[in-house]
Amino acid sequence: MSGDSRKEILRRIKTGLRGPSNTIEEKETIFPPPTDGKWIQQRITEVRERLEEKKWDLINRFIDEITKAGGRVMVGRGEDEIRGFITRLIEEYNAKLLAMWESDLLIGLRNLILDKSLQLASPINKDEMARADIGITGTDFAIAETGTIVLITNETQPRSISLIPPIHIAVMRSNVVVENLDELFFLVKNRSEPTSCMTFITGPSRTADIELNLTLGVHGPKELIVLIYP
Amino acid sequence: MDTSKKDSIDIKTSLFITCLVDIFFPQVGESMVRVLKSLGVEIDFPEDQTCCGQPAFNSGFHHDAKEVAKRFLSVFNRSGFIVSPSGSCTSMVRVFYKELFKNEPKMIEVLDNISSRTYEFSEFLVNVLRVEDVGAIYNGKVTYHDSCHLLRELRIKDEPRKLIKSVKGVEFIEMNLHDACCGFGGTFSVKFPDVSASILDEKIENIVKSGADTIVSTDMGCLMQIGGALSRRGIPIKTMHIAELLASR
Amino acid sequence: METRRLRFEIDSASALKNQNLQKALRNATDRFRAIRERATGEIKDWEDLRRRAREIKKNTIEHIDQYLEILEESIKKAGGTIHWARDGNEACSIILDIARKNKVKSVVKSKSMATEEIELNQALEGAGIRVVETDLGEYIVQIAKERPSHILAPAIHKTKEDIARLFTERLNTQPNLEPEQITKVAREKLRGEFLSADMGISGVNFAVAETGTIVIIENEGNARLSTTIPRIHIALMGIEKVTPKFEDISTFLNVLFRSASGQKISAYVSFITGPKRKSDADGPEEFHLVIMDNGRSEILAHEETRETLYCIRCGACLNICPVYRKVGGHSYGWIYSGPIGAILTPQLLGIDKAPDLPFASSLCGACKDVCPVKIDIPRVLLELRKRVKDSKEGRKNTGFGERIAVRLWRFSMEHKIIYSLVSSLSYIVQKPWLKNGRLRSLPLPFSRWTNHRDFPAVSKTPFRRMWREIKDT
Repeated sequence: MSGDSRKEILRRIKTGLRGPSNTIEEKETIFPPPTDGKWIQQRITEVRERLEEKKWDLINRFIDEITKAGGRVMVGRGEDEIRGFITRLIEEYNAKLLAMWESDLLIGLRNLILDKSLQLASPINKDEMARADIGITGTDFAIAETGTIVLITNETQPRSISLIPPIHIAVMRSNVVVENLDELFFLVKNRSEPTSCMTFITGPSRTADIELNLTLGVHGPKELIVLIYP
Repeated sequence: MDTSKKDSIDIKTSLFITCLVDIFFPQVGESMVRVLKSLGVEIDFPEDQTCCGQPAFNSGFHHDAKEVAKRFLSVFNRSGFIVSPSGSCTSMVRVFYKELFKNEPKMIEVLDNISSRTYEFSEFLVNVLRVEDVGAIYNGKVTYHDSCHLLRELRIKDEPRKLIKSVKGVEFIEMNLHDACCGFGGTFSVKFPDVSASILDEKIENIVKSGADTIVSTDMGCLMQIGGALSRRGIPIKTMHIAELLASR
Repeated sequence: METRRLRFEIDSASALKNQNLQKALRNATDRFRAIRERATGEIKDWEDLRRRAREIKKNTIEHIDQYLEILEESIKKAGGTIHWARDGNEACSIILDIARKNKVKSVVKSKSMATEEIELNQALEGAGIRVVETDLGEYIVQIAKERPSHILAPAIHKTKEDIARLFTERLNTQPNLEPEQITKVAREKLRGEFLSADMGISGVNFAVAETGTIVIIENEGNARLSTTIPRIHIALMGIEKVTPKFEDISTFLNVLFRSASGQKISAYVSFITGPKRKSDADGPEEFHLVIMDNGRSEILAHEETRETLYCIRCGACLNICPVYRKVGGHSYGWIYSGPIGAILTPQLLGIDKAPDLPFASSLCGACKDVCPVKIDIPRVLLELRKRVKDSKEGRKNTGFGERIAVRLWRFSMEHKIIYSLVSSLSYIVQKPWLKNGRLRSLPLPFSRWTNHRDFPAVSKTPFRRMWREIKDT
């Protein structure tokens, strides 16, 4: 049935656009072949260099924007200080059950957590996830102009950790920030490993469905805290 | 600048008076004539003109609109500048005739020729004659309603304001939502009268709130709608076509 | 599907009388306008962005068959399944089949105009499947058993008091809840639904052909939950949602939010490419994309109105429209409202079903100035008006009076003598109604004017006669 429908829909479109004679242009003309790899590599290097140069300007812009969007930001000097921040936040929110990505930085944190007899929720178990107090993730990219963090799903970076717990802490290296959406799309497009899901997050979950009154934390996290270090 | 000013006055200028002004508001046409003559413009009035065809066009009767439009084109074919006291009728000629005749390539040349010479009155004064102060005197607080077609089809926004502000004795007040529609919309006003009137209510509210004693616009369609509500409610705010204001001494 | 003929005048009458609705509409459209203006004013190359966005849409629509085939290949490569639906019924039965095959008992839905269009909820409920809308506005509308009245803010027609009352009535909450409390109730109720649902259904904002990625935009997180927790994710899209390249999304995101909600970006943007990979810890095991025509190829076939399909559903034209501001979404009779509804509905349902809608506009043109993809809505409205009058149904629906009036009008405009005669005659005929130089109450059809405002009197001396006297002075 679906095969017939496919044919029928495409036929309708072709006739609608180009009349019954239906002369089709070559696919290449509508879809130019990819630009050659060397040019792209060169361009990536250029972008990276430019970003490195004005990194802290961009970070400041990012902090401004994400704060406006209702996020909270803390800047630390290194991994130790970031772990300190996290420990304090766990106490502040009186968290018992945590969920987190398995990155190098956070592995160090795992031991710390187990020492404190906190528990870790498994992302495979959705009921456990539903009880988690805080979700801790890394950050793959950040966009200065919009105050957005970008999270890319893979085997060590499950998507629900930034979604189900009421508090989301995102740890971010300063070198992941790009200036704007155009740069982000360029860099992401030229990454080698494909992903099932990429998510842009800009502030906590929100709604304005009641008389356009802003209310935070409707379905996703009520709080987003970004921890930045060099 | 100076040469363009002189040239334009030498070119004969035809009045495209519009059926609405002809039948209901001849004093607007008269004012226009007075202002143009005072600036030394040589004008004529092609007496065979009737309507541009917009009412039928907007109602979906393109065939009928086309016949009336063809008459317009032949009446004004030999004119120099064509000047009209309506942003809406000027839009019809300049913008929508292209739509109306899009399947008639023969017409394109005629259309381009005529539409490049057709101007709304305030636009003609400021952009062709390069005049902002016509020497008018009027004592009052004036607010201005942007006619939708003048503003969004012809993109004329500052010209009428410049003219109004140059009138001696005028205190110009910009009202809230000055560029919002008054609800007239031609046949829309009688096709959906309740909706039209409800939009009009808000326009009146903003006019009153502005504190102005005179509401000026470039289109008698809008002013007929606005003025009709003001007089119905006994609100003592005067409606004036911009030509009438500029003819005030 | 809706088969009733939509009657704008009748449907809008009650809206105009509803003071609560008038208050809600005025408040909402004022706020939407202000934030849009600020957001678009902030960015210096706004016009450039709009042009870029329109160019992408134009190119896409002109070659849309080819892009859809590329999209299909990419989605398959990513492990997803593609379905093609000629119309709403077929789309519903495809989704029902998947649900039945997987013994689905409950479904969570994130906001999607396409699913509203095909009345998917009714189809699923008819098959005994529980369907829960999870966007807060949609949830409110669902428990009120109504339809959304705005593309972006479905419950915009309700005040917060209306909603608090509704929650008390239907969900037994405390009376007089504040928005924060209402939101909290919804969060708690819906959490359970997300965790127990077997299937999540979403719409699609954009579908990237070259990568097979669907993009979903939201603020609440309900779309992320619907596409992450349940075992199966089905996304439904109209054919026009496809876009060639990944980087096109950058342009669209740049124009969409500023136009829609005045944000630089929404809280969440999800880019989903197929189901979860084997090594992923979470995400749906199955991903289905239903590509639906449902009248869109018919829109494509008309070059003059093809640009209707450029719409990215931002709602800016609703918020700026003087007519929408007064009549609200429900007056448009179907799920698409405002200026875009006035051009989309007659084309999707058939011009005979909604012959009034192309006329439900003062043609003020504010919509085309805010449209992020520069759809010339007034021009399309005018084209559709012509189509109404040219079609057999349209001719049937046009009153005898209107046709006679147009004939008479044309006859008098074509003959100067008749024109002058009509003008002189009107001057005489109007006399009994004349009061202080104005006409205050005229008989039908002129009463449609004078019921609300005075009509000007026909002048004794028309300009053409006046001209003879003043031309040589």
